Amino acid sequence: MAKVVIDPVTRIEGHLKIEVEVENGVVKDAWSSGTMYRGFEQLIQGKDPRDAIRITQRVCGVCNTIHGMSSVFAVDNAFGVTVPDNGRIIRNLIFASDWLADHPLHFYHLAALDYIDIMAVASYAGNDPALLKVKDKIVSLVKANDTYPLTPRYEPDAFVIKDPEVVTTAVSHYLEALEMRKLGHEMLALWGGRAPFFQNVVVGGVGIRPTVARIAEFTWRFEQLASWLENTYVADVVALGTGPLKPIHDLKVGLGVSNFLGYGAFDEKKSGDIKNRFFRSGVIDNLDLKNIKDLDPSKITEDVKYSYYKSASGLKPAVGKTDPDPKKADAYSFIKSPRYDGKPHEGGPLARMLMQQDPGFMELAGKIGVWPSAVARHAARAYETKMLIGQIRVWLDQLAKNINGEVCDDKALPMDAREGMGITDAPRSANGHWVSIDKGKVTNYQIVNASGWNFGPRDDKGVRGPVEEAIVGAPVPDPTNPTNVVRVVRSFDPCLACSVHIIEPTTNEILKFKVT
Amino acid sequence: MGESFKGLSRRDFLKVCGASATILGLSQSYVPQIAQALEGAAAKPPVLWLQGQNCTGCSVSALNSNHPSIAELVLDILSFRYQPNIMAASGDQAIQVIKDTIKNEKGKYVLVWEGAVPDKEDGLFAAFGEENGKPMTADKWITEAADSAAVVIATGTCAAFGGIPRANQAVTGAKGLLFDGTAKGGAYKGTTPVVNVPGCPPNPDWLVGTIVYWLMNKKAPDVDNYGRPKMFYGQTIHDNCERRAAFEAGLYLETWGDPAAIAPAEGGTATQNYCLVKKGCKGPITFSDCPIRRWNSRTSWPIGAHGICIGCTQPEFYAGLAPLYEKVPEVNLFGIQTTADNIAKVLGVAVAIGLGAHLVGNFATGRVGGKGGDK
Repeated sequence: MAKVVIDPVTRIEGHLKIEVEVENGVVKDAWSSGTMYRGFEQLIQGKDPRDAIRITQRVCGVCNTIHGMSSVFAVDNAFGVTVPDNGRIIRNLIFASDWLADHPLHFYHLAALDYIDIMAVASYAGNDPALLKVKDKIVSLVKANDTYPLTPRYEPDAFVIKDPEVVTTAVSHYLEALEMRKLGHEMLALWGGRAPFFQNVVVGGVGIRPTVARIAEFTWRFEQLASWLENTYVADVVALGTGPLKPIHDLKVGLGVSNFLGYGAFDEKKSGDIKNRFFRSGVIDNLDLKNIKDLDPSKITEDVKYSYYKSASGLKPAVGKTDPDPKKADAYSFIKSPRYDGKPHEGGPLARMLMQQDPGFMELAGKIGVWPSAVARHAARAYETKMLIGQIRVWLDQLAKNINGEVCDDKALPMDAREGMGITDAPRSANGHWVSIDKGKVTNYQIVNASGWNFGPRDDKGVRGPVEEAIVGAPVPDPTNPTNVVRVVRSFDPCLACSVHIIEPTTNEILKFKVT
Repeated sequence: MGESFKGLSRRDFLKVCGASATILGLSQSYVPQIAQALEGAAAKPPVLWLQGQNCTGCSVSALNSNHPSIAELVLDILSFRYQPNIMAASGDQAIQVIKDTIKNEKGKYVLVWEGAVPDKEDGLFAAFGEENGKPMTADKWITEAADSAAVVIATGTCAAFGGIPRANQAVTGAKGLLFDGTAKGGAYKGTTPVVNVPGCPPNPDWLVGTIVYWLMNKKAPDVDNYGRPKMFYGQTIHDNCERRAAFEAGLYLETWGDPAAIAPAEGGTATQNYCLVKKGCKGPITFSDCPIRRWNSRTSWPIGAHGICIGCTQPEFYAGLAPLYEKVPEVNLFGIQTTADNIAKVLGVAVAIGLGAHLVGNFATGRVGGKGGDK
């Protein structure tokens, strides 16, 4: 048996380490470890609760809108405000703009290099001027003997796409995507002030009022981005997922726990109401797609037996504690282990799309085979992008028809004891903030973050977290090239820094990767 | 110089040079000089971009660079040996690249450091990579990687001053590279020059502009007392704020979204957009060019979108500027006179919390100043 450690897992957000045991070319067991701690839940104690909306966005520079929204929902809830419709819709537009920037970033810039042999570009023999330019670029890097950051890399395995035409097209889309995703951030900045880290969403709504000019400025960017997303991003994912990458799906690489959970996202009626969201909330157990249960947030708990915390295990987030001990025996992660009804649940695009069961998605799923996998997660992410594009147009219409409506229910800081819960789905999973306040100060703050649902370690009963479970069974014919492990890890779009090394237990030596 | 420069056509290369001139606020007549500086290098300058207690927001912001674009930076201008969010390599392969660069490119590479560096519990609160089965901590990496670098760019307020993680310093020991908040004495003790590019996140222009300046001049730009390039952080937000007239006229927004405090062009009924200082805006004590440069291809900026400035480029950020939504005590609203005695008292406070000379000037004119007993 070979023990494989990957540290750091790159092309993700944060610091994460993944260890796997490989036997006969297949992963038998896996451990996921977050290797960084700052302590937002501690540093916000005693502070003005309104600060949390700004500060907790910095939990993650990629997922910042998600933490901002969860935080404002929690503080809204504690203050007892009623967010006006325009405030709610502008928040949706800010949030949705980030999703439209985030999903293509994830596919092209974080994940794609696991699926293509970028050096195949050198063999491109076609005449497309745009693709020839890409070829010239890559060839010149090779000639200059400086192909960083595209190399070093894992040796391309049997599943990697090597067709020069397909690869060159993908690389040209990778470069296009770098420009296009900026439009999403510009859209976000138009309503939110800047990206990353929007600045004007406040308790009760937003500070900004809609104007026809701003809707037009937004729409001009949005329609360019929407057209590119539908014709390039979604088209690429569907073409690759039903074509050259289908064998990875057929092998069920990255199956996971088969339990899914979603808090829902994008409020359609009352702000923060999990029962009236564009992407619905719910729970699926054992892949039973006919039985979608209502979400009951009181069933959420967090175990810490294997996490670096000395605080009690199994607590509900509203009364949760975060007291770190990085030298705790048996612990291997700074991530806690969230559980719903005592069981691990996967969150994210696949969870959402399985709950939504939109006919278009079910048709796509039917083409590739209806089971979870790394490829299925990419397909779900692309499909929901398309759904969201349609809904943004609806929100813009609603805003235009009520252009003089109020945007904020601005209430003073309450001095009595209050509690609030703010939960919403994020591009990569389900994210929640719980706040307690008294005398105008935060007395407790707990975050059950999106990637915690997927990347948490074993729970107190020793049951693996969703990513740990999804890696088990992945083919790793060559322990020095654990490409399938990082494919599965990245399909969950991790938002934390990961680390994976490769160790040969017999010698306990870390094998050095060959530099390609 | 042949037909192409490092894979770029001559036309594309000059476009990159022109963009670089723009970001530095230089006239296009500098393009030949920039071209000469970039062509002079035998190979693309190597970059190591390492992360401690970070959130990746600085990296995400850098992706929004326009002049030059991130693709031009990564593929044409610089040799990104290690950047954890974009590089192909993972695990030991990736760690080996850092080690090779430190060894083989000694004194030649740019180290970009993102995130604070914690030193409690043997530095275990931030680690990436392992050595002999033990985690390599950020406080070990910073010494090793910075000592052999040509220059260190501390990107973001965490790397520069400790930032948000420093608000939990009692637990993790988070500090900036050269500074612990406003005080000297950060996590890096070596002698390699460090340029601070704070901001939460930094505007991509500030970071890219600082790097391009260094490439052109092989020295750090002129900096203030906190190591920040004056070309980007030389004035307060308040100095250039589009709502300055409202501040001077004593027009302050009291309720978010109130049409009576918002200009018609922004959907309100007031004569102008009212000043946000009563809502806690930190513009008067925050140094950066946000009002002019704006964000995201200049589409907007926090105050332009009716939000407060939270003072994210300041060494006091975050804990020293909390609560964010309460008026900065040192700021006098219109009509409040300050006696000479009170100015003197406030100046004492101002120096103690490290405000710059410019602000002191404003205290003296009575535009900014506490009531002495405020703090």
